[in-house]
Amino acid sequence: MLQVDAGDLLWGRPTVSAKDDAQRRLKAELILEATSAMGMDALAVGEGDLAFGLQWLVQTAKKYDAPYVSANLRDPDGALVFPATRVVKKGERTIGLTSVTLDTIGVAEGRFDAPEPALLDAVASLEKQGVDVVIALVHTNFDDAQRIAKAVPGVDLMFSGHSRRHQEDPLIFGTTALMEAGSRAKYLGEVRIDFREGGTGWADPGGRERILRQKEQFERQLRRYEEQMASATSDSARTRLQRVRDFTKNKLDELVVPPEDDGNGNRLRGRRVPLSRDIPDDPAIARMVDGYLQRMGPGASTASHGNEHVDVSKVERRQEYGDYVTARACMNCHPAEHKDWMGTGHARAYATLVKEKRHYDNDCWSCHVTGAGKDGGPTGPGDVGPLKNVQCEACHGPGKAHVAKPAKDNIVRAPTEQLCVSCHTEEQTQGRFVFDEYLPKVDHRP
Amino acid sequence: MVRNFLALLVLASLVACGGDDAAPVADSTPAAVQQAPDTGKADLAKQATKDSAKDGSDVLAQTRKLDPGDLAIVFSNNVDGEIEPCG
Repeated sequence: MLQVDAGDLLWGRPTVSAKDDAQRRLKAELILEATSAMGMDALAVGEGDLAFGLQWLVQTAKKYDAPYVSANLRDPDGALVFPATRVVKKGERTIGLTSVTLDTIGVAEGRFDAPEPALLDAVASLEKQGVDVVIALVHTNFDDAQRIAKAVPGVDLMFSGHSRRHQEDPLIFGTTALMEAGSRAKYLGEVRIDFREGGTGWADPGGRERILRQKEQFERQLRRYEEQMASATSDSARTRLQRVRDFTKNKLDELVVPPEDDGNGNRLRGRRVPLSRDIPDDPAIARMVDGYLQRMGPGASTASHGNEHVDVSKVERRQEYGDYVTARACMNCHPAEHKDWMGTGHARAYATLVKEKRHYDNDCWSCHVTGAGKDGGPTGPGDVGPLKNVQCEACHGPGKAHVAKPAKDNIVRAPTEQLCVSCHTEEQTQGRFVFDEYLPKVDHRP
Repeated sequence: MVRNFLALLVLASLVACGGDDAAPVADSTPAAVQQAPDTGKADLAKQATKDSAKDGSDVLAQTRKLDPGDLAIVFSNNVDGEIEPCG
């Protein structure tokens, strides 16, 4: 089995804020260490992988023997930073691997060459080495990946990154199949190949029928939206239907129907695998994670990772939290609502974090406490104090003025969806959070 | 989910052994709709998903089971430094 990553493995943005830098580096190192333990075969370079600097990436990749390949990343002297190609043997097959990255991505200590010529050279090099299969990892926008797939002959499989797209059904352009696996490791892409004797190009068994069915489905939906628009009684309803219709039309236009299997293509089948909690942890990797969490947590000294936000000397030292008064104060006048809140997930939000040992994780803590980053609220995971959990004031705003003089106009009475989705993000919930459906879980109106 | 990125090794073993049936695709959102992560499109995706469910023909929600092949490849992108779910 071959394992590859198409870039932005270590971080998703080109820069890291000063307060996150130390923790991000720890995570990046953990991931590279795990990558090495997993025996991954090739990694592409994305802008997030360069967020700590090119030299850091080179040194850390070397430390963990991380198999970065790049045919177009060059240092200031013009030399390739990583090998342009890599050849691995899998069973009877010799696999050639290469990678290119979008050249508009800035590199402080180097540059990316234009991806297409670099990829052409890399493919020619791999062909000279007599590989059976050429795989290109392409860290570009998905449109660019498609353009490159059409323009560069000789690539058998292309895995793209950067656009965070799910492309489970391989897009087949000539003899190149293109796929992408989404983002944040919520899914892993998987593709299986059966080589035909003398086979050329690809055939996706059932793929053509699948896409044709999907095309029909989108067309049916489009017709329905258009009928509804014609009979809509208000402008707002018509506008909303138009937006949904246009969205669906775009998706329809993006569909690429695979060619019919002419019997010559090698068989290729793709799927995405949800990386849910049903999949058990690998013990060795779990030990690595535990070690990382220990280094990140309250037992760690600031010197070990340079993050003032986990300085234990600050823990619960504050006596005042601005205008926040805590749920205990709310309970005095609203005992029924407080009792109701105690039965919600919001009241246990911090405990779930502690259970997972993630309460010092900058990616996590702020959505499991009240008032993070707001005036008077916790400034970091070591400064949470009595504002653990998603308390009353997370939704209703700081209550000091309301406690001093209870009135309807000095407290937020109806929190907005916008507030909720600041934590229940589309990405975090994988689209499951629907405001109207979730509100009743925390709504304690009589 | 990302604790599970770190379980890739285990998944790799599953894949290598042909243990495909472990992973149903439970998400009912059409993949084509999910391809629009930007927030402005979230409500559109929800609407399209609901409509798709009414349609009863959400072909992409079907679990796909793959036979073992001559070569299995697992791939990821944009892991974005995620380690595992927060809790």
